[in-house]
Amino acid sequence: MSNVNLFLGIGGTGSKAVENFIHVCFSGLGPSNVWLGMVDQDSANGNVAKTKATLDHYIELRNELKTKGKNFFSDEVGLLKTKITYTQNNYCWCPLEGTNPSLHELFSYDLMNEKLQDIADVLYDPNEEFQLPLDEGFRARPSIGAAAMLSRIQQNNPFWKDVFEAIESAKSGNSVKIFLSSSIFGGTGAAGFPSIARVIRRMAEQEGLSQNIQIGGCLMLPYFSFPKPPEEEEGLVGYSDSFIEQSKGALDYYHRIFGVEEKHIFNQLYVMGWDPLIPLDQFEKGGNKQINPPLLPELYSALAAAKFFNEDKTGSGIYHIASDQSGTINWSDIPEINDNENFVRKQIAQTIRFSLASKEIYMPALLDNWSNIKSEAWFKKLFNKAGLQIKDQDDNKESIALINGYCETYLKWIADMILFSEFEGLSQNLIQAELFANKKNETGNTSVFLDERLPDHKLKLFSKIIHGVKATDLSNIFYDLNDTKGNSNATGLGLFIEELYKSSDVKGVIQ
Amino acid sequence: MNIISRLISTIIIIFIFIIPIFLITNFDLPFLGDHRILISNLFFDTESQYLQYIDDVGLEIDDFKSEAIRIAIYIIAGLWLLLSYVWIFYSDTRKVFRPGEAKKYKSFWVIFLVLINVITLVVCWYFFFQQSRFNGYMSQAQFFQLGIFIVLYSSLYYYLSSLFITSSAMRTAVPFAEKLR
Repeated sequence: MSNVNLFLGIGGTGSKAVENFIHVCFSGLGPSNVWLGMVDQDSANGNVAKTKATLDHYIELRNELKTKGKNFFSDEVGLLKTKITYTQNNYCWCPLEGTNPSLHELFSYDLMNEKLQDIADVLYDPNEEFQLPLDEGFRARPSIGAAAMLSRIQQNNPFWKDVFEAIESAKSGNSVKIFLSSSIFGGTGAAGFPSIARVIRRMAEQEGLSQNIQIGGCLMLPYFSFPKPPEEEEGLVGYSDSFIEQSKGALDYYHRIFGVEEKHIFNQLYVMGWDPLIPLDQFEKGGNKQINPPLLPELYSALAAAKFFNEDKTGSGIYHIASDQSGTINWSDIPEINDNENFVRKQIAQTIRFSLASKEIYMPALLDNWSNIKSEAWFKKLFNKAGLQIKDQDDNKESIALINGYCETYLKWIADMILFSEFEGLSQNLIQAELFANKKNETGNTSVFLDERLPDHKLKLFSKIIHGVKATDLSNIFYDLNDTKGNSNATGLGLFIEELYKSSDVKGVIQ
Repeated sequence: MNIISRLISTIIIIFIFIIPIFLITNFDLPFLGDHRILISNLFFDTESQYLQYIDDVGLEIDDFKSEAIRIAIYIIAGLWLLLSYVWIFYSDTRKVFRPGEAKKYKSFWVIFLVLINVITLVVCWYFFFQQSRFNGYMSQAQFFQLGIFIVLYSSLYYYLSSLFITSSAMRTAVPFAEKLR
C-alpha cells in the first residue's frame, strides 16, 4: 500500500499556494510524492505562469540531482525529497478553455425557455454578470464560478482523468489524500473549493472508497488588501474592501454545507485569517501582469498541506493557532507539521542557508573554471571522489546553473514573503531577508530584488540571517566541506549537494 | 583532522625531527661511531686558540653537550611547537569561506617559514657560537655550514608539519601541498 497525494490550488490564491508548497517541498517538508494541479479560469494569470515555471524548475532540478547512476543523493537529506508530478500540458484546468465566453453564452441563455430565463435573471444580473467576459477569471463572483465549474468537470479531461484515476487507485489499497487550497473571498477559488471538494467526495462515496480517501483543505480568509482599482475597471473586478463582507457570507455558507447539511466532506479543514490585512500597493485585474508576491499567510497554507500529507493518521478535532504576540510573527507562531519540535524552523533555516551559500559562494566558483579550484580539499573529496574531473565541467555546467537558478528562486520567494508581509502593523522575527535582498519602490510599484553579489560585510553576518537558531557562519561550512569524509552513497554532483546541505544545518534553536 | 588531532600531530612531528638529533649528539650510534668525535668535528675548531688551554677536551665536549646542545634542542623544540601552534591558530582563525581564498595566505606561510628559520638560527648561534662559556670554540666557517644544515632541517620540519597540521580548508596556503596530499 502506498500513499497517493494530490494538491489542487484553486484560483489565484490557490496557484500561489501551489508555488509555496513547491518551495516547502524543496525545504524537505513535503511528502514523498505529490501530484500538483491548478484550477484557474484566468489561465494567463501571472501567478499561474510563475507557479508553472517554479514547478518545471523543481522537477527538472530533481531529475538532475536524483537520478541513480548520474547525480544522486538520498532522500534522507530532505532537500528535494518530494517527487512532484503534474498532468503534462494540463497543469492548470481552465473550466471555460479556448473561448472567451460570458455566462450568457455558457448557459446558452437564448436557448432557454422563458421560465429558466427568469430563474437565471433572478440569480445573475442580466446586464452586468451575464455579459462579463470570463477569460480573466470570475472576478470575485463565486456564484458565476460555481456554475461554470460544475458544468465542466468531465472525466475525459486529462486533468480530471488524473484526479479520478488517483481516486480509483484507492481500490487497490492506496491511501489517497487530496488537499485543496483557495481563498474564500475571490471568484474562482471561492467557487471551486466547495464544488470540487463535493465532486471528489461524491465520487469516493459512489465508488465505496470513503475510508481510503481523505480530503483536506485550506481556506484563506482575507489577508491582504490592495488599492482601489481605476475607475474604468470598477464593477468588473474584485475590491479588497468587499473581501470581508464576501467572506462573512461564504463562512455562513460553509457552516451550513459542511457543518449541518453534508458532513464529512473534509477530513481536515484549515481556515486561515490575518489581521490586520497586509497592504499591497499594486493592482491588476487579472492576466499575465497579475503576479502577487508570496505572503506569510500563504506559508501557513503550504504547511497545512504538508502536515496533512505527512500525517499517518488524520486526527479529528478543532485546533486553534494564533500569534503569541500581537503585531509580531515569531518562529513559535509557525506551526509544526509533525511531532519533531522545531522541525519547520530547522528545515527552512537549513534550506535558506544552503541556498545562500550556493548562490553566493559555491555555484559562482563551480561555474567558473574548475582548474582554479581543482587543488582544494573540498573539490577533491566531493568531486574527484564522486568521479568528476576537470574534463567533466562542461557536462555539468547546465546542472550547476539549474541548482543556482533554483536557489535564487527560493531566496527570492523567502525575501518576497518576508519583505512584502512587513508593514507598520506587522513585524517579524523569522528571517533577516534584508541581508540578501532589497525592497525598492520604483514608479509606484514595490519590488524585491536579490542582491547581485553580497559584499563581504554582509556575508560575515550569514550566521545571523535566521532568528532564533544557533547557526554557524560561512567559514564553518567551508571548513566542514574540506574536512568531510564524503562517505555516502551519493554520486556525481549529488555528493557535493548532500554535503553542502548537511553543513548548512542549524545546531539548535534559541527559545 | 580536527584541531586536537592536529595539535597532537605537531608534537609527534617535532619528536620525529628532534629525537634523531638528540640521539646523534648524545649516544654512540653504530653507523656514526663515537658521538664525542662527531661533536668535536662539527662544533669545535681544532685551530681555535681557546681550545689550546683546555686540559681535557673530552670533558669540555660533555659540558658543551649538556650546556649548549641539549638546551638548544629543548629550546628549539619548544619554539617550533609554539610557532607551529601559532600557525594553526593563525590559519584556523582566518575564517576563509570562499574557494580559492586560502591561496592568498601563501605569503604568510612564507613569513612563518622565515621566522622559524631565523629563530632556530639565533638560538643555535647563541648557544654554539656566542655563549661566553664556549665562545670561540667554533669557527665562522663551521657555523656557516651548520647554519645551512639548520635552515634545511627546520625548513623541512616546517614544510612537512604544515602538510599535516594545516586545516584542509587552508592547505592551499602551503606551497605544493595539493600535489602531496
